[in-house]
Amino acid sequence: MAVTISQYIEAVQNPNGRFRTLAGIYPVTDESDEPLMTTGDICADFEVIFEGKPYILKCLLSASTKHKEHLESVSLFTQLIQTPFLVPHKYLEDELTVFDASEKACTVDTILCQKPDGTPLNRILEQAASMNDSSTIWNTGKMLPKMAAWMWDNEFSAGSLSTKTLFIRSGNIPVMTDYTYARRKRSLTDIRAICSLEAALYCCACEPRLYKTFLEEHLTSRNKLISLAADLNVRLGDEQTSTLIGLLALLSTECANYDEYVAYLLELASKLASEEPTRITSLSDMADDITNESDPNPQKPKTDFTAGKYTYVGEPNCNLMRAFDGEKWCYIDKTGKTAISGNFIDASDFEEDRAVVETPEGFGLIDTNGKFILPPSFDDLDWDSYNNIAIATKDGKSGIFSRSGEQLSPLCYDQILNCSEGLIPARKNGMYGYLGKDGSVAIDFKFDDVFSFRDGVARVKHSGHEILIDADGNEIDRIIK
Amino acid sequence: MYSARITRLNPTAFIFLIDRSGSMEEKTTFGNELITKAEAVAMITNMLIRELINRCRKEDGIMDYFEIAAIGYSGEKASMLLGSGESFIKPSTLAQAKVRKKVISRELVLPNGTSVINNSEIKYWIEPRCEGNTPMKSALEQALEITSRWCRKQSNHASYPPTIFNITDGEATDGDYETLTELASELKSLGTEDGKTLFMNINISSGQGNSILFPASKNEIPPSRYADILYDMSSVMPTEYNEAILAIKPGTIPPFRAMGMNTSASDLIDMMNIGSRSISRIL
Repeated sequence: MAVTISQYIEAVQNPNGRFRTLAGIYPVTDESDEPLMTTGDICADFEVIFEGKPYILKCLLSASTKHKEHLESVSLFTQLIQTPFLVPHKYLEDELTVFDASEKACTVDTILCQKPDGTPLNRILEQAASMNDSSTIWNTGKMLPKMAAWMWDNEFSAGSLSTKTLFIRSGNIPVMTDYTYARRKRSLTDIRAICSLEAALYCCACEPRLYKTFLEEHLTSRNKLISLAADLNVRLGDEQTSTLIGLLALLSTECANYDEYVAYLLELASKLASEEPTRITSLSDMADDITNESDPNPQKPKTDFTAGKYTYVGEPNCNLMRAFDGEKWCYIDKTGKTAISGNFIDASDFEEDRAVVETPEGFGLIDTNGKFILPPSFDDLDWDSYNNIAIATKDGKSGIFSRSGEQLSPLCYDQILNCSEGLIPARKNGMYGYLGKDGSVAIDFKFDDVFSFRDGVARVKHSGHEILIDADGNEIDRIIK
Repeated sequence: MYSARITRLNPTAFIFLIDRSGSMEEKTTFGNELITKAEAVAMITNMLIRELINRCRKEDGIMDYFEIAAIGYSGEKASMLLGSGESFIKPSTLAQAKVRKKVISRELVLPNGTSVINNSEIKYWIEPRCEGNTPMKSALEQALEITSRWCRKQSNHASYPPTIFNITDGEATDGDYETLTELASELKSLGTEDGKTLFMNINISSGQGNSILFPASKNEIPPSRYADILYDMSSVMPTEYNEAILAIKPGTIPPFRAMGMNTSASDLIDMMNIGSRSISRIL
């Protein structure tokens, strides 16, 4: 049985006699005397002090043997391998005693990780950016290509590289700390993430104010950085940035020979790390654009720039992406410009040129020009792009509309379910039947319950019996339980 | 089905229906202590709420992967118990709420035989209360309304389906078999693209022993109208939960009903832990 976080908290708060080898360990607590901790899906991580030094105590939340085995093997690797890039972990079998609700004791494995003596990369970058300190940002990234090369040569992947878990030690040596998802195998994802980070740091070294415009994902995620690459390519026409552009372009390409690809990728990243960045006018302009957005009387036209402006940007559908700025949703195009500024409470992806949006007045259906096909007056609205119908609900009653907004059925049904094989299960006055896609009643409302059609057959309940019917509503078989 | 990852954009919902009728004043054993059933249920529900909040504790603070609602029923009606009467509350809001705290000291025996005093703190987002009748129908109606609204919301369509715990110790005083099972059936028909709502009904008892957890058939439950109602109201547990159920009921054969009868406080914890195992699906 998996152990709960509450059981771990209780154990860490009452460490006396609970630890097999870590006698004297105690938790770091916040102002309310709660242990400082974070949770992943595999482990709960507690900040602890042992023998006067800070550590992270990782407690397994998953009962999966597979997770245990992989954490054990990664811990062993971090202890065996000599490298400045990994913080050693120690896997401790049957270390901690926890009690369940009936006060029954059991012992569980834990992992003790050294807390590195450096500083998390995100904090260094935040501080350097606020002080307009280019050289710290640039120096911070110098060793990253070496770390990436080491990982490739040693067949090690971190799995979840982040500027929060990547610490920088004295001498600008990066060190990875979280191996929850680490594997003993090569991963292009990691190499690309580190190269993305190198590219992002180079940009920030050219213009530290840019750091604020990058979200965490932009720094290490190839996909996110690639979405910036097009923009950067347009803006960075400078010859000095050829390595950067080459690196970004390479990040987006697939490859046949991984070793050659990685070698070239790392060569470009190393070149970037050794190339003293100079202020790039176009990048400075970009930062100015973002800064000026808060200016009520801007001196020059604003430029929309996705990075930093939105907290969420969806996948492109029908050439539009839904975007959330922390308060309202809108739709932007691929250049980052606002295409539909509806100030929506909620917005869904476009499908077949239609999207459902929520306004203070209710749900509505819009087209790609932002025009309301169905007014925002419904309590709920589902767009079924496969069948080109919208199911709208108002005051507890539902009906069907076409993609052009034509009402196909009155709003008189208690419930309308998903269309399957052209037939739509619906409930009216407590009885179930099926509607056609044109809104007409296809099979009468005479059933106690109905299910979707599959291969021309549906299971329904009729007068206390479960039967199978065909698409015309005729009984074809009876289910004997 | 029952495989959607839980994200901030696609959160899942937990709804607690808590019987606060007069009979909940009866005592039950929790650990080595004898406390009222109302106190035990409040403590256990608060522990699960704390677990949900802690599951959301990330590097950048508390991320809202869940939406939590609690409906108490006693007297003549049911009412929302969290916040200032809102239906769903987010973990980040609950974490900041100023609520009563209580330190519980327990003497525990370590595997080597030595005793240690253990202090743990319980936060009371839900206060224990016991008075009046058992208006379970009213609670089911409210649950139906908020679950239906939650499931209709576009952003929840791809979410892991809601989980509803109904913790009670007696028969409803405002509804008969037909009404209750019909409401439960409507509740169970709601859901997301990932599956139907999971509705668990747990009868907490003051006695020890004879508890029945996750029965596989009606033959396992006592022959009573009350047990029948709870059985018929409860969901069939999705196969994804079988491994966890088999860990506490080895050798039994699925499918299991999301029901507990004559459960002790620790049985209730086991059932709620199994019912909330979707929390490990946070992405």
